[in-house]
Amino acid sequence: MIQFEKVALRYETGPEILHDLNFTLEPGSFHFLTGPSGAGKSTMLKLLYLGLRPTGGKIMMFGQDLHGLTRETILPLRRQIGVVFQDFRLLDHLSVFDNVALPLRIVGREEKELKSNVNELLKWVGLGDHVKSRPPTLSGGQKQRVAIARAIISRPRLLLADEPTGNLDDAIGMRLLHLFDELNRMGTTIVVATHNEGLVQEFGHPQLHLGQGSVSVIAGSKKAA
Amino acid sequence: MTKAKNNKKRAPKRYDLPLHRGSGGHLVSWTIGVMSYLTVLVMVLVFALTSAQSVWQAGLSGRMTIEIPYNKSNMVSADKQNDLVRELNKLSGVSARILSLEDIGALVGPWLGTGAALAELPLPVMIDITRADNNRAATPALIGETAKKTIPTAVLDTHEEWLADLMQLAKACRMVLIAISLILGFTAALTVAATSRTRLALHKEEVDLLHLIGATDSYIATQFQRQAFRLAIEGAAGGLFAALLTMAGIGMAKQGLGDTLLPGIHLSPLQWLWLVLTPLIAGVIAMVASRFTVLYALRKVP
Repeated sequence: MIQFEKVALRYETGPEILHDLNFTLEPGSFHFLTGPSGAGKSTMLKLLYLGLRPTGGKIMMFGQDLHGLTRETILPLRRQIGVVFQDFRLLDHLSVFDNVALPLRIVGREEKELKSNVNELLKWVGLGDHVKSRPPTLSGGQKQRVAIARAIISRPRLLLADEPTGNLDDAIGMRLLHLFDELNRMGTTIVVATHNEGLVQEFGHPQLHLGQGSVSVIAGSKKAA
Repeated sequence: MTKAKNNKKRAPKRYDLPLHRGSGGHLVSWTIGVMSYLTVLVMVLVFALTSAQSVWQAGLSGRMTIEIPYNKSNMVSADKQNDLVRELNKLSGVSARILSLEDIGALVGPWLGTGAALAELPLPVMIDITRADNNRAATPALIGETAKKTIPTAVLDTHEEWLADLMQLAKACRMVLIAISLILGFTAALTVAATSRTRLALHKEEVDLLHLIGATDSYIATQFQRQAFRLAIEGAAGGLFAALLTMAGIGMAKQGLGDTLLPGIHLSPLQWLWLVLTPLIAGVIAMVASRFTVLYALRKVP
């Protein structure tokens, strides 16, 4: 489903930040993306959510070679990827409902149709009572759940999360990972970048470990909670 | 039901980008307002000039004057003058009459005053000639020749040269005014384009986010164009209102002057429609300028 072959990345004429990345993500898999700070986890997520183009190697995504895709032809791929950013990147001037509805509106979904979907999802993430609230009035955990709801509202095939538990206490972090597990059971492929060793051990999913610019795959313990 | 109505009303006002924030909006509104104010006034001038041209043309077309210069030592007798009028009236489609002292008094009144003793002034004899528009037989040359035969010192003034010069001047003025309004429109478009570029840079993070979620360039440009349209309409409506107030003020100030110095400005319903449409035209210009600027800038994003 997603295949990296000798993928490399450098910014302009600088040194290669990532090199020789080789791995495959099977449909419905769950991986943690681990590695020390500055190892390039966020950069690799950018490659995965098509925010950056590799400077070397080949990426196959959903059966398509990314090489040669134009800005227009890349859009249908982007719409199959949900991203939860570390800093949430919610739009503060929009309500929780409008933030979550954004991906559906972008693809031109009818207001009537999207209303029930958004409300249902917000209930599922425990924010049914905050539909009209604005992000600045929410706690960190609530913002995180809005960001997740926005990332999954259009039922993406791939969900990427960048340090989703970084700003949360352990209990909320655990609940969040359970939520991801639930999504994964529904068939969504998930990659979670984290430096929280405890969570990685607790959930036992395989790891894509980044170190010195390259990646190694560490098998999981499959001891999910 | 009411809720649904509220949602319907609210939906178009929603911007996925926080474009309503920041000070750029006021700048666009004010600039477009001033441009529209000037454009409306320029348009009124163009319309006034067009209608004045028609009035001048209608007033002088087919009109000629024969002047018999004053010559104390060799006065032309009244009989001779009447002979000339008779000869002229014999020409097909030509109507001639000697201007009375009262007529001449009305002509020179603005310069000499109404109390001038005209009888004592060395004034020429003037014969007013009206020629039917479709009359091709009685050419100015024929009329001039007829006059010379009867009174050799008679001079024919066809006004045509003067009218042609006036029309040329009016046409040039109109072209300049139209060019000014085009420049105003172009400047307004440039202002909107510059503001759109600034706002695009200001909201780069949000724009990137929309792209990552899968928004097309067109979707993002639509956000900008909607806002530019609204701001331009608001500003231009203000400009139109101010221009109408100015016109009313000029109209009131002109009341005491009469139509001698300044011809009255009477706009046709179509011309009024053009003025009223100014905000809409400004809105469309702003919308197009904003859309193309944003699309052009986004095309450069990798």
